[in-house]
Amino acid sequence: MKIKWLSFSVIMFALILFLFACSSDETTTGDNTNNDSDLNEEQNSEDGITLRVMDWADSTKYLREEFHEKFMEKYPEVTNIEYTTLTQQQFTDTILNAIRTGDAPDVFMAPLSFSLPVLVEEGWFQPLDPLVEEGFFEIFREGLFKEGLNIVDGEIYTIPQQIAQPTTMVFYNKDLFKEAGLDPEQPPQTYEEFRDYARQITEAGNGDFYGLIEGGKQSNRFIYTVQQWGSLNGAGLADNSPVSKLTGEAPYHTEAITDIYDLFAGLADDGSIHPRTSSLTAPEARQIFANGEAGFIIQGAWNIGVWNANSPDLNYGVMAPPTPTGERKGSIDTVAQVGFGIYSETEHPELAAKYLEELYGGDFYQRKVVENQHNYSPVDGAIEEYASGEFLEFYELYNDILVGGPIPEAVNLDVTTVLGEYVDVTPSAAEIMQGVAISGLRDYEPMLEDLSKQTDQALEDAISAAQEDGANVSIDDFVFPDWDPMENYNQ
Amino acid sequence: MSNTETTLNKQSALNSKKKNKKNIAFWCWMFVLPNMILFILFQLWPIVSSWFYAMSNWNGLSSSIEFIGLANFKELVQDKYFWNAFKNVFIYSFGSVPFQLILGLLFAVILNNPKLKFASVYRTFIFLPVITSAAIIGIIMSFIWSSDGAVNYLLMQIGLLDTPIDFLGSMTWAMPTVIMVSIWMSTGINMIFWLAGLQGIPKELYEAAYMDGAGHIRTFFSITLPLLVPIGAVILLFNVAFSLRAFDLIKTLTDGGPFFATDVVSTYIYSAAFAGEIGQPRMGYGSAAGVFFGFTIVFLMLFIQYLRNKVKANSHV
Repeated sequence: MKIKWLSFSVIMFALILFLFACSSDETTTGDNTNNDSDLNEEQNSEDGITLRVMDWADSTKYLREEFHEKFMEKYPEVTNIEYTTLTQQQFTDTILNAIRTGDAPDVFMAPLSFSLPVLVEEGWFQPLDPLVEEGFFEIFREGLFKEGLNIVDGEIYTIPQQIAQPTTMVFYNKDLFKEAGLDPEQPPQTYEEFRDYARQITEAGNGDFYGLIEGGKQSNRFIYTVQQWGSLNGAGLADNSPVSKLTGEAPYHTEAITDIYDLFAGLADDGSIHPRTSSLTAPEARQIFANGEAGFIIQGAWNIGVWNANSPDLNYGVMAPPTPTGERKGSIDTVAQVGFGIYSETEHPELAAKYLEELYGGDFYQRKVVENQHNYSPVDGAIEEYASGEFLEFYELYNDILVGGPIPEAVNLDVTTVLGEYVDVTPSAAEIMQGVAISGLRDYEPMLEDLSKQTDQALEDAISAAQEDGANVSIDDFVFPDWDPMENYNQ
Repeated sequence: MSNTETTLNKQSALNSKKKNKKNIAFWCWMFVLPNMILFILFQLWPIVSSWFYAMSNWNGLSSSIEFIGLANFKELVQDKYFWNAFKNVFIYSFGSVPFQLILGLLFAVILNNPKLKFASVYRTFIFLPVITSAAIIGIIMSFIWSSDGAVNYLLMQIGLLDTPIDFLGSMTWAMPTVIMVSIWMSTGINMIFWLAGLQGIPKELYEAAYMDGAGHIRTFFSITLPLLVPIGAVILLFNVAFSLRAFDLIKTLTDGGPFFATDVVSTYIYSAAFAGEIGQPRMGYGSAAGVFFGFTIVFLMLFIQYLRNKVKANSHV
């Protein structure tokens, strides 16, 4: 019996000792932190500083690497820049884990659909104003920084990588149009025409090329199509609100949205969707489009530079998304991405700020991303000075159909509390669309009705929870009856 | 020697034996201790933490954790997509485990033949997928099984198909495809387990059986199989446990799709705990799903263990 107690005591003692060794009191922590910091500085002075940067800008990776070389030449104390670029979904997963473990990169983009005030409250980013040179923010386009998107409580936390733009314009292969007997200068305008064009291209391809290709493995590609094409049909959807900004209700069961699902179901039934779509990410689909295996691809401007550089023989055009009748009832309502911020726990805040200053204010990167047709720079005058060809054409085309809609957080900051409480509904519009486009799901109408009901309920629950937490918010904060969706909203 | 002396000697021998026993026990505990500490820190502690998180409304990022009792569990049992994942993981398990066991045994019996040339080479080939990362296998297999991949090409070349099948994009074919890849991936490790069992069967039994005129099939069913049953139960236990925890292969191969056709509990938990469109990730809800499913696995394992003991008891009789 004694030996059991002895063994037990030894184990407990060792365990307690081990646990105490892992933790420490406040003073010790402080000392340790200082020691660690000293150690890091010592290591950094000997080995140089490593800056870590993460985003999902895969198409500009080569330019960024060139920029990093130049940056390290200018700031020799930085001897290494660990640059990681992932797909959007991979990025979101990775950054969430990195934040949880306290090991996030020094500079990183805010994941899409995450509200900046929530991220700031959770301690992801630090304000940029105290870190950057005075006057730095004056180089950007007027109205770029918006409360709730880049600004929280009057302080700028993030800088968009590019200005607001649609991510679901339609690129088409002019050579395949010709092979199918279609006029490349007359792209389709209605859903019916779009489906018909895709079918004719598929028939002409006889298994070698198809009507449409998408990065079907990434469900986020489908949510953009539903939101942006739906908004052109008057759905009032945008990525910063779960419900229509025109009605305050989820519109997934309305014609503005169901028409899009009908279109994709029709495309799939015709066999016009490239059979590899289900297993492709967006960059892979982009490459297959460039190989001449599809007539259409729904994508954004960042593809233009990649195709022009890597696939000079690709003869392509760009068109606005089709609508059911050829007439639009609304506009694509999107804002610039939240963009790059500096990690609140970074050991090198000043150098991280220098990185951003050079990235936006230097004479290399912004010029090159526009010249090489990748991004619409948020720096004032850069697009007008350096854009050309299809890139400029795309810019002019989308300016006609894009507006800056209302931003609920900007009107009432307590909306962020609601978004923090909001629970996504399953299956989402993207998951249903993925099922329709690539997996033969046809019973989607009841699902969309259910999605609308559940979304309304989820928002109601989130509002109630936020009110219980003391937020002064209601469903009215998500509705903007005075907004004409064909025009910018006067915030 | 007097009686007293004899008693004292006996007493002293007994004491020394006791002391020796205590020493052994002490050192046993000391050797177990490092592992036990690591187990407590990295397994027991997270398990206990997840029980706590399961009863909270927490997004995994915020410092404030709201205690909500059993609300997550209530929501979980009402979610048909959780039950879909729950059903799928058992389909995956029941679809893959029997084949992994049977094929593993088949290869083990064939490769256990000392007269077979290049047995070690074959063993290496069959074992190769085991040492390859499941994530890599998932990515490579997504090419092989795609509509213009090697499998479709082969089936069309031999005339079994007229048009390619989108194995991973079809709601009908996705799960069988994942199961087939899983069988291919895990047969090797089962073969090794079975080989270990086969090599423990005394050769004399076979020699006696052959002398009595028994053939290969008779010896397999009358000697090999009955003597492998105890280790078979352990292999079954491992396989069921591993298959119910399947994540990496499915995540990389289909990501739970198409339209939830291969969504298993692990991918369901991952989606809840990490993903978010407009809403935040839900670590608390994901933990609740993990805890709920964890208990299911424990009950299932206890049941298998019970069966194993029963078989063991019968074999002793």
